[in-house]
Amino acid sequence: MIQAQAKTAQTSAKLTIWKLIIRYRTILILLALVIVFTFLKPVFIRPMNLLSILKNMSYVLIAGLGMTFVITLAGLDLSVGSIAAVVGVGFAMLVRGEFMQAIPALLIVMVAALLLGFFNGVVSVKGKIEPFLVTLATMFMYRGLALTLTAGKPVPIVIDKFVTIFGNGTLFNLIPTPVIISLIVLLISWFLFTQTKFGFYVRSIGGNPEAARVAGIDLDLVKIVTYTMNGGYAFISGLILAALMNSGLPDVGSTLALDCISGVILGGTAISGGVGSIWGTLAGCLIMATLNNGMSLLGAQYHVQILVKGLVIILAVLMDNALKSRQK
Amino acid sequence: MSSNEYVLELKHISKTFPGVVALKNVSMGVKSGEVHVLLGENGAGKSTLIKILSGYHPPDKGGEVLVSGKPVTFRNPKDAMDASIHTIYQELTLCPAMTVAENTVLDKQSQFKGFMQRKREYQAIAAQALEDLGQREIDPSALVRDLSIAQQQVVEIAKAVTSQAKIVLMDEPTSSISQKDADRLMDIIRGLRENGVAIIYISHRLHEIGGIADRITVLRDGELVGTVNNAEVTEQDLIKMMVGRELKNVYPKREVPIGDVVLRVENLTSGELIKGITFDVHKGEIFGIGGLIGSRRTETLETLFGMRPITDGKMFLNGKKYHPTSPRQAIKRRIAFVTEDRKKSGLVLCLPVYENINLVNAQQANRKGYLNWAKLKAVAETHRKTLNIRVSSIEQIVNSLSGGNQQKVALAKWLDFAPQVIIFDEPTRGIDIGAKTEIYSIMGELAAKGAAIVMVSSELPELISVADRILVMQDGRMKGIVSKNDATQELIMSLATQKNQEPSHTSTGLE
Repeated sequence: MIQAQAKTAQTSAKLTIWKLIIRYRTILILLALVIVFTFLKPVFIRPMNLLSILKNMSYVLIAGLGMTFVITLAGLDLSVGSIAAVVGVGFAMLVRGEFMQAIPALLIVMVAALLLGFFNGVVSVKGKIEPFLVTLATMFMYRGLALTLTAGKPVPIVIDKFVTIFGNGTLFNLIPTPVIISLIVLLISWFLFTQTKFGFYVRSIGGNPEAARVAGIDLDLVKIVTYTMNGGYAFISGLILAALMNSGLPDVGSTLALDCISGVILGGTAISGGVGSIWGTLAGCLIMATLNNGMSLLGAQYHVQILVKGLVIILAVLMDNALKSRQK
Repeated sequence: MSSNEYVLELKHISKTFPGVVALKNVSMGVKSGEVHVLLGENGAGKSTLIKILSGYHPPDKGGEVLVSGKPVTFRNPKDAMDASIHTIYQELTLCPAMTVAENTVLDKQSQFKGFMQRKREYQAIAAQALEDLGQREIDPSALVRDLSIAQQQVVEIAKAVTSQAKIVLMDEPTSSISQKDADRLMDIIRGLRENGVAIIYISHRLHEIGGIADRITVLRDGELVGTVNNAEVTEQDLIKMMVGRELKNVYPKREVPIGDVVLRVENLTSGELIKGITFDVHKGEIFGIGGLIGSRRTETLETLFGMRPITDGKMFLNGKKYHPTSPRQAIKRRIAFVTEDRKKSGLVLCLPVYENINLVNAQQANRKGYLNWAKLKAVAETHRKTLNIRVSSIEQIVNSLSGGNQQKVALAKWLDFAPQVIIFDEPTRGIDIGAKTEIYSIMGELAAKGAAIVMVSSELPELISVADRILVMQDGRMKGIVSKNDATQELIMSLATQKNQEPSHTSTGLE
């Protein structure tokens, strides 16, 4: 009897450990990477390097936070990179030759980005088209728009203050401004996702749209708002990209959508919808950025880096599945 | 009769879909504090009526819905909820990845002001509701996907109870739960009735509505047959109203000589799920498996069909060892499996009837890799005739068929390779009485042709009337085998629910 009890205690302890491993799996992967890279290249762990990781991932993280809402809703948005390009190009053109002040130009570009997101939502919802197809199409359309506006050429940004605030500036002479901006967006996203009715609706629609419908939730409205919001996330992401590049580039952000989707998925947000995590997205994006940085330090070429990146995504998802089936 | 007597009244409700008249001029009234059963075969218009009352479809012009004497129009489900009507749908409408509490309050968000979630309040509301329902073992912060189906059903009811609705619609709430849980549900319904809630209860399980109904409204082919007091009618009367003729024998008698053992199962074990199942099935026999939901009957069938690993025990097919590790191997030994969820695993819903019927054939049809569709269509046509599958043509997409006809298609795909053993999992779930009777006769014919049949069923009358012997399971173990002559609902229930006793061979029947 006592033996049996001891055995149950043992198995339940085992269970709790597995549950913890499953819960914090993303962070564990991240820790493992940090340890490995520190071991191989001690310079990796120096604060300046860590800050540069955060800076380099800031625009991907911001796009990923918006994407967390979209994917939790069981949707997808491939057009964020193109929207970001329109934002950078549009802003650069508006302020060129002192045609316009920075603030009104920012407002105009923001409204434009929201409208592009709104268009994604409306066409998908009202036209009853899979978001994958809609945003695949608008990915081309918006990219075409950015290229057409500038005839394919980069447009330099003439306002230094903009470049400082969104790109190369630092707070306390230490923390890069993009890191600050992404942290603010992170906190707002966490609040929206976990504390508001909106986040609740997003999860319920992604988890079981029928349940949400019969609960009296306006599915169309929530979806359109989410895609519009995602235009807003792409706007901020696009500003940072433009500031980092010091110009509006029509071909910027071509891998942004897929990069941030990778981060979201690595963070445990289910591609089938209903389950999402803001902290997960942070961890997922950190993993991707750490890999990039660590491999660069090790002298790996870009070609090798993306090969490893793809491999890591597959391994992480495989591990995820294995852990989950173990839990059952 | 003054119309104020009714909390819900329908006047001349019709509903026409393109090409189909689903409801024709239906009028009925529901009183506060009554259980009003809506009865009818599939296709009688019950679901359409529910969808009108829950705000899914507007009725055709000319009809009127009155709540507490006032005319109402519902443009969406929210309007219906605002009018104090709560619907429990047949398909559970819960979000699996959310907690019990979150699911309970999802439809009440307009009652909470502001933009914020109120997690503590949600938790308190759910906890109170579960306590009121006597379901303290359900944790409000548990994820719904971790609950059993019966517990999920309770969450649906908690949603209804906390909605303060005056009218609760329940669309076949017992279709996926066990007898015991159904009994508990009946207690909950009685409690709601005492609180003055009007309950509209949809079912075609005649035996269960007898104990709960106050009044019964019968629909047939979209038309109102009548509303009767439960106390004044018999089951036979109701069947007559439903089908428009007297259906003397729901379970057609069938005399089939029982032959040799076809499948012998010895101490079958699959991991922790299935433990030590032993039985044999004879040629021409229908062998039933009963038990509560969660007693792992389906898992047992899946082990027989090679879908789960056999970790201990042996099986013999016609005396030869049978150890399937995949459905493909099971099929090679001529075993057929008509699964429980035909929409999920029985049919490819978006394909036409003839392609579905040939799903198994197609793999054997031609080794060169191309299919002779003319021949396969002829095969499908034959099955359509013999099984009396009612379709406009075999080109029709399976999704648009009624449940009974879908089930026949799911069965037809197995018939061409002369299966020795046919496994049925809940063969008549969600299909109407007429189609049920047809399925039973088909099973009878298959047995007469020499097949051995294994059937899992949650409907005790069906199990007792159709099966020659019944294995009763509990928690993946066998609790006994009962022969047809000894089988009563009480005996099977007591075996299915008894605690920690050795399996009792009440009667070994044919052995």
